[in-house]
Amino acid sequence: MSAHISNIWYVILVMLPLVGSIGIFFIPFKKRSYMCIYTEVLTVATSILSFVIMTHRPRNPIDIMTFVSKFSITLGYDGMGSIFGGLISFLWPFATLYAFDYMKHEAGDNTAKESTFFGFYTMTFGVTLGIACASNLLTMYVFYEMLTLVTVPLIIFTLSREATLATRTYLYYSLGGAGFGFITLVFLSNFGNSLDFALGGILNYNSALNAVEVAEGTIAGAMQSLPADLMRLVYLFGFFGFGVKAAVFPLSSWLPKAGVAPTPVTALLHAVAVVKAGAFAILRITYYSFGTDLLKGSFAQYIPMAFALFTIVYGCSQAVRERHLKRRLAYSTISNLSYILFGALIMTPLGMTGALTHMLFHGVMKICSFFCAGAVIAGTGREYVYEMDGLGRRMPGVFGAFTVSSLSLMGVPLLCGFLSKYNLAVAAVDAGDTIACLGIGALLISALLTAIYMLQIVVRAFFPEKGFNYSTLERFHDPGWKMLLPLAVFVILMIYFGLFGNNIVMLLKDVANGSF
Amino acid sequence: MDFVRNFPAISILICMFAAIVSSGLKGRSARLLNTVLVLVVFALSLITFAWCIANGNYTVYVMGVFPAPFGNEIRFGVLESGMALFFSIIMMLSIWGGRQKMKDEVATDKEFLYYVFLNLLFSSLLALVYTNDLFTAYVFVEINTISACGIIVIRENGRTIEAGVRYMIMSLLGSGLLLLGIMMTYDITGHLLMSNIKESVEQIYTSGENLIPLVVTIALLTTGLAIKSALFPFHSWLPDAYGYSTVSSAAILSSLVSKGYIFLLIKIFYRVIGFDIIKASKLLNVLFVFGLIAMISGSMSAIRENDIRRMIAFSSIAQIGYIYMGFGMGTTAGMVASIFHILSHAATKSMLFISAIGLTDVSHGSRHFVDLTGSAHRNRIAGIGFLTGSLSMVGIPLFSGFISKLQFMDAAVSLSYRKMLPALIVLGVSTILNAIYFMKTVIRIYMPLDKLGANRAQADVATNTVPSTKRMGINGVVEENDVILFRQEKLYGFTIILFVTLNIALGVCSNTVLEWIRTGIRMFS
Repeated sequence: MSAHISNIWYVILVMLPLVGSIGIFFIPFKKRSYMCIYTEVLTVATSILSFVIMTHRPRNPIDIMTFVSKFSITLGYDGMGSIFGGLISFLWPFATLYAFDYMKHEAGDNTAKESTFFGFYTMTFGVTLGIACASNLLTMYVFYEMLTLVTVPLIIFTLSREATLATRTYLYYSLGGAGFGFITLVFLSNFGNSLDFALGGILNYNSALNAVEVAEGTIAGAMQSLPADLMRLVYLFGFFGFGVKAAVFPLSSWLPKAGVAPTPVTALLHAVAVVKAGAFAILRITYYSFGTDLLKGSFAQYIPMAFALFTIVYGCSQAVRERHLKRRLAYSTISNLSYILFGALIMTPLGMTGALTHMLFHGVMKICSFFCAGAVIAGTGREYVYEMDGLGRRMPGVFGAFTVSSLSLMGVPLLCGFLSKYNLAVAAVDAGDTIACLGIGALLISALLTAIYMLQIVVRAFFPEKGFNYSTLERFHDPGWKMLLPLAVFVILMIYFGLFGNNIVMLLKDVANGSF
Repeated sequence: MDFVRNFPAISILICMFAAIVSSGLKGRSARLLNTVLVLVVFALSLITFAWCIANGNYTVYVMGVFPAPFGNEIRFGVLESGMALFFSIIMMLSIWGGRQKMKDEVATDKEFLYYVFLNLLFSSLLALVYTNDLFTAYVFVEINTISACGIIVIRENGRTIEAGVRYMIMSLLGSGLLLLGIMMTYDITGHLLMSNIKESVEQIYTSGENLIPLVVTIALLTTGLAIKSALFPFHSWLPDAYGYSTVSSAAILSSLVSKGYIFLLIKIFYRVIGFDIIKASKLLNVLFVFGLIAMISGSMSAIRENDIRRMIAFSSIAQIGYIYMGFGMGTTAGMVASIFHILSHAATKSMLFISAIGLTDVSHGSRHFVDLTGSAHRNRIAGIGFLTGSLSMVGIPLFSGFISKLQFMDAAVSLSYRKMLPALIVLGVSTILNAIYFMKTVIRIYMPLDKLGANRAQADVATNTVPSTKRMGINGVVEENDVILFRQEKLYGFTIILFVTLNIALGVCSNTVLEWIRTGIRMFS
């Protein structure tokens, strides 16, 4: 940690992509490549700024505006915000690079349509950074709602009937979920000291109701302390409200449907930004707003835990059943998101470490496998698992990366997926609850199922059945460098984290203990 | 600056005179007079509002020479003058937004009548806002009803006449109940001036005699006004009246007329009966329950609706449910939320009606969803208006609807469990329902038609079932639809921009507005 910089940089960080993306819409670029350069420069600049801010973190967050007395918009990184911010700042430039090549295939020659796409894509970057930067619940909520809206044009991009239906489902689920998350926000503002995030929670245990205006026949009178069970119920609202984006079981059906979007969208948004924003929000309210003291050992821990465990197994088994490549990966995402939630719900610093580790590593692994799937779809037009036969030999780069990410997702040692699963398991054992031990069972089942649904693809690609005729695949080959470079970077990262990931885990432990 | 105290009375009177004068004018000059009138009232209300804020207290203005128990009074504070200011803004924008369309909707020789009705309506709204006399309020309620009926049936087709008759019957039923209520109030208290009634009511309440008549009176007054403002079980007149009348009428009816009655009801709660007695009468619980049912059932009907205007109309029922739910909470916080929602809903709903007409105009005048596909690309400014309105209705931050939602939830948190949980859950569910029908429409209007046409054409080529001429027909539709650019309808575009600004201003500067409302309520009682 060296010198601190002014906190106005937070505003610049969030506004840069938001304002810059307006340029993508309205500047009449002469050539497509100019637009690509502009977008890439904008994204890289934002990412660099984000990292600079993280390493020279300003002392105080910055207040931007105040809605109503106690509700204000405030930006500032803390430990956990930096982790999420760092993840997306790292992945976004690569995803944009990948998208340039991919969108050529998706949009055809329609430059106007493409600039709309990249405009919203970059705008989403700013909004997601806003979620990471948010230093109180209201700010996070505001950006969370904006995230829903700016991603709509991206999902509906192809304008097919399927895409429209998927977008509608996504909107209804997300806006509705945020509506219930909002209930949590209002309760916290009434029963907490402030809405700011602070590790350990901000609930006011002593004089919670005294300050509140009291209506007839109420709880108040005798009630001098926090209505604990009510707050736990409100936590459930919050969990399932924000859980919509994190795709907890009964609320997950939007995610596979949203797979109709172009691959850069599914990869970055539906494996990293949007869904992780949901998980991030749940981590925030669990550890930073309610605090684990209130929730631990109550129904507010056990009910979500049961749902998360069920989702882990459900997601995997659906993925095994699914034959469409991207949808299979989407189901796998559902299952993996619940790993994060499972870690979060253990409600110990170790659990949080596990959750954060998986949040980071799963981001890298899943974006890699989605990009591989996208490369296959863009290069061959084949979308189903049974069409992958023999493609491994024609597209060794893509399927090599896919294999690494599959192994990592399964949790093979020496790759980063192992580290995060290991951390989750350690946290579960440490917690010692029955339900946490059930969690280890779920992790094992899920590892087995992951092996089935991921390796099936790998095996088909590299070892087609005997007498397979490779001449039908003559015309397919590995994509260009813009697609391969991100894949290579992700593979290197997965291996690097797998071997030397301990530093990262130590850092995350610091975050979970509040010392970063 | 003391002459400012005359302004409320002046604004009511000039509206009435303007109505009388308009009846002898040609359409064009009546229109001009109306514009000038609304602008003048806007200016007067603005000055009154500023004066009230500076003054810090309410003002009683005696009409005529007779003092209190016999004479007629106007009483105004921050809330009243603010409401008058707001009403004149919405009135102005609604009329401007529908002006272009009026040429198609109203016969030229009847145009002046429209402005007669509008001026009368405006005067009655102002009177409802300002008056301190229950019977005067009743008289203006009737004027309001008749002129509202007039602006519905002025568009002469079968649907509007049917809607007008239906509105008339329901509304007169409401007025009848209101009149009965006022008579009983007069009977048990012996007064018609609000402040005097309140004193007597307090005496009655403490003495414990005549309690049942008192409760019946409250029930009658409330039911009468609830029917007129279309609270849930009495809403059957609303969709047709809002859905088929001219666009300005729909905007005015939804955002002003129903709000005028609601404002009168608030006045009765605070100034005639006293809020504590209202609370003790348990009547608010009834309003609470019906408000909740309205929020769900209105939205459900809106989801089923296939016609954009009627969908917006059904959404009004849900929004009125919000307002009554706020009343039903029985706390000041709930009341503040409701009053803010009156403003926010008025600003949003009129914008939605005005934008919807822009969208239907570029879709062959059809109001069905299928035909509206891509209309936001053909009329950009209307699309922006509709988008803003929808986002506000769903409660997206930075728009006014978000602040109402925030206020309602905030108010709900301090209630007893019995009321808190239903209120919160229904608020959550209704957010989802709002999202369903508004977002569905937004996606529909932003779906480019050329792509859809191209898709269909491709499908036709693939199946080879449709002859090529038919395909041309599909593509032909795209060209046939008029495209409306901003420069073609400057006034319309300008109105929408003002509406959007108003909406965002309410959402962003909510702190000030809420402070005004709180001050207003303090001055009110």
